[in-house]
Amino acid sequence: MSTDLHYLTIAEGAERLRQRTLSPVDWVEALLTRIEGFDGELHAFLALTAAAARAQAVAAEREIVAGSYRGPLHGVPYALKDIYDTAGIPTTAQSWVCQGRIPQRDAFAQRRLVDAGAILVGKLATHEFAYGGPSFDLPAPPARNPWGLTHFTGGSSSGSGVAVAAGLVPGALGSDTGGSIRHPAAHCGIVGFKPTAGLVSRAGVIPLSYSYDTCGPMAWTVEDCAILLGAIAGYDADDPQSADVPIPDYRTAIGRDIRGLRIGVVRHFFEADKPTDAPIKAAIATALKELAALGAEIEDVTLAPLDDFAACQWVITCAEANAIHDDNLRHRMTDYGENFRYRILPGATLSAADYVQAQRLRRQLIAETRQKMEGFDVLLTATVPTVAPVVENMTLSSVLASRGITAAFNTLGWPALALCCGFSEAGLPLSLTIAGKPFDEATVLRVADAYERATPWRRRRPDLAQAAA
Amino acid sequence: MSNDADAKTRHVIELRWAALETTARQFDQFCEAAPHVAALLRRIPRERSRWDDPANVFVLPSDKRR
Amino acid sequence: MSDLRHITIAEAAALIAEKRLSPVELVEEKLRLIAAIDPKMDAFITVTAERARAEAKAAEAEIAAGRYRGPLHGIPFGLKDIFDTAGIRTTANSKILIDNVPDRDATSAALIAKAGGVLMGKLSTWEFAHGGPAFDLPFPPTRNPWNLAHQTGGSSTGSGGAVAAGLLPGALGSDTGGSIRGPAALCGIAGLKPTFGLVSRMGVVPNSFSFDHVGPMTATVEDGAILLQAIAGYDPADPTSVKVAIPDYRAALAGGVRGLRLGIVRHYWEDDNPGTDEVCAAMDEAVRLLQSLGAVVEDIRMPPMQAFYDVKIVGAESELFANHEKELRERLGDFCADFLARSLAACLFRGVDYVQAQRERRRLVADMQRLYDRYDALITAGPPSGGAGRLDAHRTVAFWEKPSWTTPFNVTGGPAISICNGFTKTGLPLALQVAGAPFADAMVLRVAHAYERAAGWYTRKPPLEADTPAVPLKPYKLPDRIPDMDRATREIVETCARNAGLKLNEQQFILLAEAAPHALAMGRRLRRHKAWDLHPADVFRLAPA
Repeated sequence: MSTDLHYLTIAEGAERLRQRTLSPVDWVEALLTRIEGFDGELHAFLALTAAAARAQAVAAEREIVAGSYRGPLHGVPYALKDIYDTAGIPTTAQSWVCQGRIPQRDAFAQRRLVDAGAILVGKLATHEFAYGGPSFDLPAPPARNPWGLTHFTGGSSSGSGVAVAAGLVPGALGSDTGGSIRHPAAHCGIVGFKPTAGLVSRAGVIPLSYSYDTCGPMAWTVEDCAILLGAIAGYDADDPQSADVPIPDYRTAIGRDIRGLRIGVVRHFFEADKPTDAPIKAAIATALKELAALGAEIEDVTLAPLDDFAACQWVITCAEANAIHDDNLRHRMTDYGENFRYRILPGATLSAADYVQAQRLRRQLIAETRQKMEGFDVLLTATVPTVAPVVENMTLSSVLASRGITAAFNTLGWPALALCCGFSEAGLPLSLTIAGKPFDEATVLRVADAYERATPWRRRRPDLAQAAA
Repeated sequence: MSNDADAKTRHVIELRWAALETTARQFDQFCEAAPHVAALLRRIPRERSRWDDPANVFVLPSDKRR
Repeated sequence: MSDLRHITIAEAAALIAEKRLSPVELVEEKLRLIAAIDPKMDAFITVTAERARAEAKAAEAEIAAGRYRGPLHGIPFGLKDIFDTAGIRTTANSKILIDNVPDRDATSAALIAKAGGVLMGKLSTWEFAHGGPAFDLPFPPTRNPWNLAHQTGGSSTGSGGAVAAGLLPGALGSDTGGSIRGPAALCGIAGLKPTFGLVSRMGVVPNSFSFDHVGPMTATVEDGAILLQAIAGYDPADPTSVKVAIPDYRAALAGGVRGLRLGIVRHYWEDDNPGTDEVCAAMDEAVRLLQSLGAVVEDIRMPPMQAFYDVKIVGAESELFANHEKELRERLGDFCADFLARSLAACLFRGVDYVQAQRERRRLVADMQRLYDRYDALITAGPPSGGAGRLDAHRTVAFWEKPSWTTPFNVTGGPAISICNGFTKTGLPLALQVAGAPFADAMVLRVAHAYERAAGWYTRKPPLEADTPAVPLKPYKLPDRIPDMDRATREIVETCARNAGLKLNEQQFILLAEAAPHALAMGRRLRRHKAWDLHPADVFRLAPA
């Protein structure tokens, strides 16, 4: 797609690395230069691991030259949302509460990526504890949207979205409790994939909500997400939710046709339940035509009202977040940013019955949706109802007054992938979501990839010079 | 306004129940959020079949069941 | 046969298999005993006599035709009245369900029927397997067959009473905090709470989703093994059900205890909730007996009983409250006072408290592993009070005051059985408890069986006969004044009750107020520091499509 090293996709870079037409050392250097050039403005990184990355790149090159090529992530640079524990490297959740926190152990997903030979370039900005943001009262400023620096990046995996979109790294990991992978993916114009609950271990990732947290990949293309997911998926006894399921080769879902696949359009989410910007609705209409032209069968499907899914997610997540932060809220409340406090405090006074009833609602919603899903292979809906707003215009109270679309798939726990489906007149990315049945990541990837290949959106990159203007 | 005062009194007690101390500003924000929280809670059904299990279930450590 | 009254399942099955005893004869004799004796003790809510006679005849015909199904074929049994039975009223001893006639059988009920068991009726329970003993329920409290002035323990009151009195050779109960083992202990029979997930809860009116267990109550451990064999196994209709291989429980009994390592949880009955002198003496003697049978015994420490109790109460009362939320809001007065004395205070638990209880549960469950690694089974005492208390001396607040001897194993999810280990001077049964690692049900049964046979207490039977004089009782007194409370606490209690939509009269407020300081203290204790990676014990998991 691109000859610039910083815009290489993982798949492209990996192929060149394998053929030894690209040195991991050069790739890493190119990205470090790029980060140096632009991250002062973008604030995607909280910390760089440049020295270690250079050393790993040298080692990877040596291994590959010696013929011990490990696979498609060998020598590939990436970065982690700063809630993934990294041994010896500060992991702060972008909070004053965690300043100076240096884990002794890598998160499970990080270990998997290291084992695959990938090269960690740094730790990425996040909303505080993957919850409260954008905030200006944290140890580091919020990341900026490369498509327009005054616009919101989405969150909470904000740095992951920005770094991938701006070509600072080809791939990153994020986490998604109510939309925190898909929301920044949408606003930054990249692909974000929240897999099925239990597919990727959360061990070593600072928790927000035990029942809802999900780890997943963020990258420029669907194929790159497939590559990353293949590396991090799998059973881990250290995460009680981890599922002992066979992990398919997700890349076999790439480059296939989608003739005969049945797509259920959850139209009421973005037309009735949630007022959605016209350009997003128009882009989805166009996308549906595209998918139909590719041979998919398209039909509307009605699920429970969006607010049911969202309320369920909010109650469970907020109560659990309060349990996790209970000690610190009591003893050092003011060390948290205002946005985080605003979001979390109402959960402290939920009753136990509220929580249990939300848990019961969750089972009901999953059972109902399972039935409605029977005639479909995937669901399609909008990722977010608006294009990225201007940060200055955002208010705290909108956080609770208005719930997003993304949380529906957190309540279900099913795989949901956000990908770019066009741009607004102002040049801001638009996004749609493909969701699938539990543990059927492959079909979600297949549909998303077919759409991505049939549409021109991956050819457009943010103009960083203009974004700054 | 007395409703408002009642609500504030209630919120003071609720935060005491949670044993959390807030600044005046945090308290105001808590009060401001309360109607939104109430709206969210109204979406959670209170009347359901006694057979409806929660989504979370107790899993013994030896059990890798998926 | 003159001795059918206390015939065990194993004995009856052997005779039936050899066609020396007819199921019809056995069922008729049990129906006669029920008619003669149950009016004294109120173990039954519903007697299904006609159906039982028909089933007995059918069993007899099948066996005669050579189609013998196994050791439950033609054996009478009873179900606690929270087990759904198609076409048979299932009341949970509550005004709320007084006209409830299910259209399906609970999985466990269906499994016993499939094994050839003959349902004799539905047995009394505390309200919704929770509130009791009570005189303000649709059906009177079951009397203890060892002394009609005394209670049976609960909540599986009828199951405990009917089996001990010889009205039935076996019954099913449910156990959320001790509701099988408590009445088994106080009635002098064997009550097994199997491993969580081993026996389906489908069709059993829930008390608490995370703590409910279904299990057998029988005169002997061997009979418990026979019943467990029939009901254990995976049931896709119960999300907590576990797929595991089911061993031959009865065959495992023969192993004895020679060479087994038994952990004696002495601090439970000496310190955590001290037993009477009689309890301690009976335990000493039991431990000596086990030792003389070749077991290697060693005093061990479990986490404090109160730690388990906090987790169970906060978790289970929250779930119970949620499950009855609409009725508590709209028809509070239809619940008995004791149910309210236990349940109202759940309005004082925060969502955070519930999650912390779940996390604490994971810590406790994990902590037990060190004991499972070193010991084949654990031994604790039964009720620290010794024998059953008088029904008219019950105090509703007692539920909150002291941790329970049974509850630790509802929290661990491991198997636990209560069996008789002696009697008080006044002739009431004492008990010990054998507990084990999750899915070590066979080991727990084996240890209990070895003790039971060697000790021989099971051969002693209660004196209750048809001509035993009835004992009229006045209901126990409910608390009649609001306990002292500081203003801040009172405001919290009032606000929480109002937020929960509870409309309390003065008596109901007193019940809540008595529990409140205990409930609030539980929430505070559960707040102690927890590492972020300590997950709740209840987990969200999806099955592949």
